[in-house]
Amino acid sequence: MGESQGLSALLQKKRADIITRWAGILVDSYPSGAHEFLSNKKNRFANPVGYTIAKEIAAMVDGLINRQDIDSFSSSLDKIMRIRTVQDFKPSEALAFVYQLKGVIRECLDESLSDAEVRAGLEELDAFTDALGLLAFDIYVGCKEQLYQLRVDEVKRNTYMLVKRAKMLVEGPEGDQGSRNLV
Amino acid sequence: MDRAALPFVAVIALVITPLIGVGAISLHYLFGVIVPYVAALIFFAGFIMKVVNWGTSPVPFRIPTTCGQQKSLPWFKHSKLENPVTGIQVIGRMFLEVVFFRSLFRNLKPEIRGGPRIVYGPTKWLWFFALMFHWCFFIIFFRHLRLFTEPVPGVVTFVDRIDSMFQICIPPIYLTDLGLLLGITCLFLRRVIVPQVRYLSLPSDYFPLFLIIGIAVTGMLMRYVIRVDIIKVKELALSLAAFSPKVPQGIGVIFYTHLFLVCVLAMYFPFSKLMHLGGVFMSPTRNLANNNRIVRHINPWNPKVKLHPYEEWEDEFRDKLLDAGIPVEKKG
Amino acid sequence: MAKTPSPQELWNIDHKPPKKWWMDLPLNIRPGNFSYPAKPQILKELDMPNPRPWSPLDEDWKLPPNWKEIVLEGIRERLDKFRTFKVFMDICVRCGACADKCHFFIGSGDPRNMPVLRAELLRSIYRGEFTKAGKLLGRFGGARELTVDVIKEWFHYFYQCTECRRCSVFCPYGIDTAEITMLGREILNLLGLNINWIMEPVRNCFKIGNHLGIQPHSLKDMVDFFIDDIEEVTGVRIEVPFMKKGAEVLFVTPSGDYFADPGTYTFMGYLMLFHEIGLDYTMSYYAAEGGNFGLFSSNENMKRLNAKIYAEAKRLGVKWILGGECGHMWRVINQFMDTMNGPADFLEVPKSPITGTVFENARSTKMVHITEFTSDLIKHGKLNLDPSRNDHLKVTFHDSCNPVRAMGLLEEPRYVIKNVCNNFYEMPEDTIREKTFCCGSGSGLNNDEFMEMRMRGGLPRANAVQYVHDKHDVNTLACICAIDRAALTTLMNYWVPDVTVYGVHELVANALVMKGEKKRTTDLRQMPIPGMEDAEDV
Ligand code: HEM
Ligand code: SF4
Ligand code: SF4
Repeated sequence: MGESQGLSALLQKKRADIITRWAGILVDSYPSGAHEFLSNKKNRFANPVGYTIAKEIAAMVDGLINRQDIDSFSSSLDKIMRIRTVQDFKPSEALAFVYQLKGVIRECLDESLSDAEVRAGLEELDAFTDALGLLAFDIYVGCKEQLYQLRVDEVKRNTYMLVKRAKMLVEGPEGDQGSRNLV
Repeated sequence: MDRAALPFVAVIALVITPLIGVGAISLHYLFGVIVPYVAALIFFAGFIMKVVNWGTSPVPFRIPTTCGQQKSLPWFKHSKLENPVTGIQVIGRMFLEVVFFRSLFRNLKPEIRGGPRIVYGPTKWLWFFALMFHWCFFIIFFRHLRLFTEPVPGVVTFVDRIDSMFQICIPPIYLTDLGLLLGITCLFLRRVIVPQVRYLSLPSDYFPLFLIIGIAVTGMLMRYVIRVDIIKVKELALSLAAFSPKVPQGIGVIFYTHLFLVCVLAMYFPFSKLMHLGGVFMSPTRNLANNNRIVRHINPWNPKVKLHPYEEWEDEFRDKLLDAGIPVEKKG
Repeated sequence: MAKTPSPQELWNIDHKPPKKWWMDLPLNIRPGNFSYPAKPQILKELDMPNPRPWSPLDEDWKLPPNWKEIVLEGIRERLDKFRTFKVFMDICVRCGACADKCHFFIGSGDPRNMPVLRAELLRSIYRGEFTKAGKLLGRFGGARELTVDVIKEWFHYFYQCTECRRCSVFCPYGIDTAEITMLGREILNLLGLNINWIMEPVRNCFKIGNHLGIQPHSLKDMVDFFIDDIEEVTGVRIEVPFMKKGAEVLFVTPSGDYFADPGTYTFMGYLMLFHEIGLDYTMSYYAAEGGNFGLFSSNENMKRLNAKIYAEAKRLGVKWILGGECGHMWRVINQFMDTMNGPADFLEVPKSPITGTVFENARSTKMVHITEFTSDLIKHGKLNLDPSRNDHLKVTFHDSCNPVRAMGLLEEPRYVIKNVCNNFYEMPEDTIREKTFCCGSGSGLNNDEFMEMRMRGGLPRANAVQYVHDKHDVNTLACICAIDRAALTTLMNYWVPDVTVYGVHELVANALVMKGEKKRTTDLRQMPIPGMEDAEDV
């Protein structure tokens, strides 16, 4: 990211607010009966989704404040997207929260928006957010692809001995080695 | 909240009914004698019918939910109360359930506080207030026996004495009165504040809460604020118990309100979730021993089903079995 | 020209779910969150109602014209047959203690996955159609009308419950939503609404003898492969008796162990163990399946499949039965078998021929769990074990739902693991033993089209594994269930890729020092054992 120190400091000041709102957007994307449950971020084992949202959103906001480069966001984004990929969301719904960061930051920085330096910083941040969105998209597609791969692998594993026997019948005992790769 | 509004209005209407019925048009006999008898009849008949109705359905399978180590080899410590195998152990398990709400107590939630250390947080509110409410309710119910008995049995007086130990004012405040009110208020608040619980609540979950709050409030008003003549109330109660009802003159209308709400509760009871009082004793996941492999459980309607016996199977596969050198019963 | 909307406004469009109460929520059925319906041919072969091609994605599910009567009659019949059904319908206070205990709710946030609401889906109809109060009060009393949409909702949510019974542990009255799901599925069966992943194994198991429908001679070939593989790893050539009359013990295990990787290694483990202790046992091609998908379909189907085990034990003239590692199979054996197909008075009270221990806890059913049997061997020092061969494994144990909550098999597998592995770590307390989290794939939902749901449902389990993986470097997830071995492998690949799934008896076999064996340089998976690679040179 670029140079706007002023914005970083402002973000730092509003850190808690940004985290709450951004995480809130994620929680709001779930059905209404589940909000309280998901907002309770302390229960790592009883509530992994809420815990992950809270932890990784905070990590990403810190990343923004400290102006880390985009690669350092991929682990947090992966944790969140990995969950959202297997939940009942359309791709756009699964990803929307990344872009909603723009709105969150504007809401939190309301008073300072007239400041030219802040506005310049914001533009950079918007571009960065777009890049994050693309990264999230890659992760989403990666997870989906993995799911298909897992389906194929599992079917193969479930019939492992059948395949092995079939190979044996066709190719003789030597054909055996190859099927080990299924493991 | 929308689902709580109607029950609230309903209970208000129920409070107003005796105020008009007794206060304005003096139907003392109706509210003092007829309604209580009808309510008692409905309660006992309804309760018994419900339990008998449950009882007429068999328990085809013995399916306790086991929550601890089974009894197997001698060097594995058997968890007798969480996984009972004898009748006595089942009674022990049921005792913990009914008296201490054992299962509800399991509701602990691990929390991570500052770092990776896991703390088991005190998220036992439901257990605590439910227990408080039920115990207070039970003791209050028990204390009421002093109105229906003459002479009053020693235990009742004793419980009464203990309950009113704290002489904060005259008449002494019963601890259970406070406990009941606190317990049920918290259960109510939990229902409206915790969105998850609010989401799954039905109007019929709010109704008994409001009703019992109504009973408790009118009861306490009667004792601490708008005093009624307790001698006359006892006269009425005894006469009701002796089936020769006589309504003494001059009992305050607040008493009739209290009594009416109790009657409504009694009439509502057998047809509602309050039947969990009976159901908790009849729940096959709790009241059966996990001794299935030791003693055979009988299913009275064990169904006749179409099987695929070995002989048929062998007939279908005989050639392949013989080819593969697998032993068969009949060669051809 | 209209004002350009702010980013805020743009992104807030349409992403919030409706704040509706559950009775008004629309149904969201889409690929990935439902299982494919049973093929008509299969239903026909099992004499089950309304076989026809249909899809949950269609508007018209091709229900029989009198579907409503059928459902109401089905409910009535079951109310009369199951006290659980009546009591559980009547006494729930909606305290919500169970609400956040279901792994599907935890992983999805879908309120209809709260156990209490899953049960309310049926309870609301019960109230409306079978109780006076419900008829009188309508929605006020939590009642609603039976419509086709309700039936669709049932199908969707009763096939989104793995019958794991975790909710039942926390309920003050022991209300068991799994029981309600089972009854709900029975009722759906009457309309021909069932899923192929359950019905096809039921049919295969019934007609042929195992889930995949492998014919006996092919099964024999596969067992021969195992014998070869075992010889390759250990240098010992073993024999595997099938259909042997007069053997002392009949061994029954889920058929996943014959053909599904990594269950096959567990299977090899049993075979090596039996050879080593010289057990006089036999297996059967007719009763080759311990697993029982009938449990997930109806009590009648469960009985039809389970009947084979006693019948075969009788035909072969064995003294008692030993059962392999499987979760739901053990629910059937512990809680249903004797009742349905007993009494097994032609068998003897199980007695270990090696140690002389009498298994009094299986006095009537006459069937012993393999970890009970093996713990007893270990306790009496009958096995020569070298746990250091498993030293590269840092092991944690997944309690499968059924052995825990329908039996109480907690310490036996742990005892075995601790004797064959030196590094054992428990997952956090609230995720094991009676509070164990389901793999997310139980009760016949371990099909591949349901993958997204399974990954969601398995998240709480995976998350606990992740924790011990991060904290203790755990790389091995041991389990005693055939479905787990297949499903947890996939689950780990998605959530915690560094963790590998093992059956307990695979670990046993790796540590088992056999008479006359060669130096072991590889484990059963023919992977080199770290530290043992160069043992050959010695
Ligand atoms: C005179 C008998 C009883 C009455 C009048 C009664 C009444 C109630 C009421 C009104 C509630 C609802 C509280 C709420 O909705 O938040 C409730 C809940 C409950 N009852 Fe009872 N009960 C009785 C007996 C029992 C017994 C014998 C048990 C033993 C297990 C029991 C266990 C519970 C539990 C665990 C709850 C859950 C608390 C909750 O819903 O918040 N009750 N009871
Ligand atoms: S814990 Fe039991 S009583 Fe409470 S809501 Fe769940 S099923 Fe109903
Ligand atoms: S049995 Fe398991 S899957 Fe089914 S509702 Fe209960 S917790 Fe959920």
